[in-house]
Amino acid sequence: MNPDCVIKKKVLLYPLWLRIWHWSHAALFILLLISGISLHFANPNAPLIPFATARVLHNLCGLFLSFEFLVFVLANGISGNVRHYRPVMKNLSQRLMKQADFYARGIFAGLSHPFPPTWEQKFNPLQQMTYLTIMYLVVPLIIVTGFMLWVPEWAPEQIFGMDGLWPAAVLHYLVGVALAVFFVGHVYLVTVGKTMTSQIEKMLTGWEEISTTKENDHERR
Amino acid sequence: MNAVNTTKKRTGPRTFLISLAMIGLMVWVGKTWLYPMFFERYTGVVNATLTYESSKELKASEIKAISDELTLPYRDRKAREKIPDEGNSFIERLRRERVMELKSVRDDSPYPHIGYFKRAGITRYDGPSTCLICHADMHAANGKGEFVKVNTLEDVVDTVHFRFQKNSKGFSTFGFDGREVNAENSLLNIPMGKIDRACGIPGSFSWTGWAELVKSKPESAHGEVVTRSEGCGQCHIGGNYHPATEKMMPIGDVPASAKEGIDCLICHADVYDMNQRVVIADSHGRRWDQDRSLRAAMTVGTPKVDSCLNCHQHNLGGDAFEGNRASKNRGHINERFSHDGAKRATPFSPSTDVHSAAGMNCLDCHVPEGHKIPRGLHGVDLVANDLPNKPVSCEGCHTASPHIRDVTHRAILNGHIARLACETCHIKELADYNVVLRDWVYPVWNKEEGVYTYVDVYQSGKPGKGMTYLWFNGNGTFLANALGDNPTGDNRYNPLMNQLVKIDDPEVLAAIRSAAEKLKLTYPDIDVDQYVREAANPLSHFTPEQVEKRRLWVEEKIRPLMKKGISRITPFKLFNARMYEDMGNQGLFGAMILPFDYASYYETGDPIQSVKTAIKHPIVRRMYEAPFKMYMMDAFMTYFGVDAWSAEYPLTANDELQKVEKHWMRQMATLMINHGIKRDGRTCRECHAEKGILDFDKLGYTPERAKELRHLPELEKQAK
Amino acid sequence: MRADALKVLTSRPTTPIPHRNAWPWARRRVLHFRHGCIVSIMVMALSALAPVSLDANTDIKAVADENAKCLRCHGMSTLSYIDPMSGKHLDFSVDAEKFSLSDHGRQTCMTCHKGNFAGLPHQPEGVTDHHSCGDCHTGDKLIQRMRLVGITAQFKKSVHVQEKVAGFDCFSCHNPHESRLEDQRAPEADVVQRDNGVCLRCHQQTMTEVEKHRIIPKASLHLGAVRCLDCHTPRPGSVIHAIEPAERAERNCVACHSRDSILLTKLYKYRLHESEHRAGFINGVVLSDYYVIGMTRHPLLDALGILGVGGALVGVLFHGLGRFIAGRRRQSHES
Repeated sequence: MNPDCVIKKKVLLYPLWLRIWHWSHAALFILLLISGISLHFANPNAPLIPFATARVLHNLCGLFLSFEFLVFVLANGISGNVRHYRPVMKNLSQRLMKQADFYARGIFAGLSHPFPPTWEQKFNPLQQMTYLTIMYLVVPLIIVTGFMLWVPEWAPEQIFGMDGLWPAAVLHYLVGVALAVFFVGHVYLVTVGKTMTSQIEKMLTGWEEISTTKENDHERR
Repeated sequence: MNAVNTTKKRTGPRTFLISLAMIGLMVWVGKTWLYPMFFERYTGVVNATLTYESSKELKASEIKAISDELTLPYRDRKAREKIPDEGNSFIERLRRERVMELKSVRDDSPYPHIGYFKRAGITRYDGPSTCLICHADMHAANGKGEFVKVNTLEDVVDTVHFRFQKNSKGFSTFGFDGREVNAENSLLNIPMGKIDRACGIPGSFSWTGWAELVKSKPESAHGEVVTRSEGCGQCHIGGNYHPATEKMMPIGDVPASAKEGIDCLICHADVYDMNQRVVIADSHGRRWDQDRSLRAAMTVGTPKVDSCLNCHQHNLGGDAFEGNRASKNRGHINERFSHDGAKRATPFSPSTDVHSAAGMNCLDCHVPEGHKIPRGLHGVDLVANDLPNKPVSCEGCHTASPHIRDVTHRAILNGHIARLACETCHIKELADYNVVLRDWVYPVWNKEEGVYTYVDVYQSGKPGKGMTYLWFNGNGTFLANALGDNPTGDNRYNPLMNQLVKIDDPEVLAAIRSAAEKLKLTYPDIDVDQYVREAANPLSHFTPEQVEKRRLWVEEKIRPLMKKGISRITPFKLFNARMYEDMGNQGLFGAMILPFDYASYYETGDPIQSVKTAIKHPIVRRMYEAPFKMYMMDAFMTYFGVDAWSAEYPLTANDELQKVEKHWMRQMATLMINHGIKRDGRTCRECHAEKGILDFDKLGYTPERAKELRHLPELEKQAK
Repeated sequence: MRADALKVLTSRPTTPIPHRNAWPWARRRVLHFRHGCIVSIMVMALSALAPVSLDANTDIKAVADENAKCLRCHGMSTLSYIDPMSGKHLDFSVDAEKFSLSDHGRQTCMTCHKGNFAGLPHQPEGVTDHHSCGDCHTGDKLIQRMRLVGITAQFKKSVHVQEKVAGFDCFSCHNPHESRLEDQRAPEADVVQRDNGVCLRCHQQTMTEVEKHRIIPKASLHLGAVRCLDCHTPRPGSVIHAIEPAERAERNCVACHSRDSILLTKLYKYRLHESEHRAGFINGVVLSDYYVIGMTRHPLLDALGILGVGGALVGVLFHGLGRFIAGRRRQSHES
């Protein structure tokens, strides 16, 4: 890429549907997290949310989240946004290391992000791998196990001679924990943009400033 | 490079949507036009618009006259109630005539559809389309006390009464390989039911013997040829040129024209003329006519006993039963045959059945859900079941403790229910024209009907002869043998090796012998001894090794099925038939029987030629080809206890039958009998005696226990 | 130890009972004090049955032969009729096999049933025996051993007695021809089915159970997984004979769905102790029959969850702090 040709440009990297999806997903996630904690750590003396309420809330949010997940997968495919999720295997480990190194050291030294967002790839390698795993593996897993717990008749009767619900329940819990950890990291990483709020702004407005080359530029308007 | 990629990705969604629409369109065209066309070409079945002569436009005056006639008995009764005799017959008559014309009396009379038709301006009955004007939807019971809205036509089309088969779960039948027939609801299930279940009683298949015209020369016509009707279609509610063959495939549906052929009135009309139910021929082929008169349509309502019996008395009481209304009205033209020898010989009529005498409707026990009519949880004879989970049982009304009257013995009588089905005591015998052995391969001339007919070698309704008692857990084998085992026994009960393969009653043997001797008059090369041996022991042509193999097979594969569930001693009608069999598809329990073509069989009495004609039918040919083999025949054969279907067509290029032999089925079939119930049951000593009707030894009791059961101390004490 | 006790007390052949989790006590060598208590109660209870009419020399074969005379007819599972007076279905059948294995299986029929049975079939007027557990289980010792005092007190508080249900006695629920104390530790699924069967015998006809239990989510699932008794008797505690009226039934989800679930004192009472050791799960009945949300937990997994989320929080906190300090430094450096 010839640096002379590079121009800075604001593009709509996060279309409206994506933003609506993102924020509603976030809201559902928080509700599911709180109600999930209330169900798992049910305690008659110190309820976070009363059990009966938590059950209904958890089921409803779970249902909506499953629906939204389907919408996401479809819209992601149709709109072409899925390109950001397509992993490039070439030099993956080096690139991952580079990004990890940035979070571990570079960010303290005030260096710039090693993989700034472009039209073709808005995620950095670490982000991409995480999002790919979360959206196409972890979320489906929690949805499937969730449905098994909701409608136990759908769960396999027996797994390895044990009750079929048990692995689903444990898996649902573990995946929930994993998602909660992701959530903490995700919220924190919002602050690593150019300014403290620049990341959240772009998720609200959808516009992102990217670097591009001249010859590519006219193609996308 | 980047530019190109981007462009491609951006047009992606549109291309995707367009291709989706294209695929949809192709699927629709294929489903609506191409597939049915291909199907008809492949199977040789014919579909065409169906017209009926009895469907006639009536004038207002004609309608008035018919409605007057139909309601007359009611209005007359009403008038007699209101106007008592007052000694002056003239005045009485005048007054009664006035009453009979009163609006309230007319409105109150039966057949409300007379009024509905009048208001809706219906002056002609066109078949389903007329009914659907008002009844496009109906509220069908769902078995949970609720009603759900269903499409009436779809509901009817989906019933066994129309489809003649189901490929879903719900058969109480087990293959000889030990597998339950269509155990799960899966795509791989094969369609099973009367449509493709070969049977020795009718001697043909539903396709090869659907609607046949036979030229008969009855004695009464003095040498004149009289055309007669015959075939399976007479009891089918569809009026098509073939059974609902399309429904056997996982995709596709019967065409709209076939649905228009559904005979709503044979079930719903109170006044249905069975004389219209004859075979007619048109340019497309042969089919069964219907009564589509407005007169019949005016009398519609929920089915009454007689509606069901229009068809079902044929197999309950038989054509020979004198109370069979349908067999008294055999056709204005092309008269139907009256068949000798009844399938069950348990007539449902006030004189022969206590429930009929009590004025009960069939639907009182067979409580329908929409148009689906339950036949109960039990069944031996591989008939599809619309409501496999809905019981039809004595217990439903009579509770688990039905014996009430006999205060002294009520407890002990109820105690017997643990081991005996109600029918064991309350059906004492079948009508004596119950067919037990039917020989199709030696037709004889029947003077009255003027055709060659099969020979019923043995008919009897007596216990131990035409009917027998077997342990029954509600299930049957693929060839209609009751499954069950003596719950106290030690595997010595084994009907598939004993009572169903050996006739040893001297009286029955003598009757078979005399029938054989009579046959010998027509067929001099019959060896009477051999004839009796074959009929009385259908395994007689087996080698000792084969018999032993069969014995081991029964223990390994069938015994576990016999031990399932709760078995009770239950009466069964016995039946065996001799037909031609495709020996390429033979196992230890039977071979594929080949159908007869009715017309050539009846007219020429040449069974070989008749088989040849029948198996030239396109569907039978297709049966012997790869697609059918893969689709269902292999699975069908594994249920038979044979590894795979041999697709070797039994007719050679020179029109010779190959690998075809005449045989009795390898064991007698046992058919459930549940009608013809008597109020008074059998008494203790009819079974608990030295020569009781139950053979306790054959029922698998130990000799000590059997002796004990024959000599109950209570009864012996009383006797002294 | 238990098997030995049985052998001494009853010379009935001790066929192993096909339980999935049969005799955890027998398998485990080290017995807890609590286990010891339960076992000794069981042994005492069993020993209470023995001395009623049999001494050690009673000929088992003679009893069986004697009973066989009755069981010829009464062994018919459908020996019954509908009483014309009450319209009730009267059942006279005795399951011979279950009876022989039951706690009363070594008694002759005539031990309890007195009357004139000479004529066959004998008619109701010949038979005038009505009895209760207390008829045989007499004497201070026996009553104590059977815990009949406690049970009687509970029973008197039960809604069936309070509401004066006609003819309600021990036998309304307990079939003396089949009861076995040992059965109490069958797998929960069987216990639930059996115990609920007792209630449904009467209550199924008077109400549609699921209808009445609509307030419970997944009612039919719940009704198949827990006993009626678990919600309809005083809580917590293992008092199960004082059945309470419907309005006092447990309605609080957390009563069961929590670590200290009431089920642990009721349905899972006998599993409580073993369950702690199963794969480290608290209330680990999970591993065999049921996973009860909120009740079944794994301390390690719980810790893992808290540690994971807590660790992430601490991690981002330090990272943020690092960035803040580094930023400050850079700023001061630049200036």
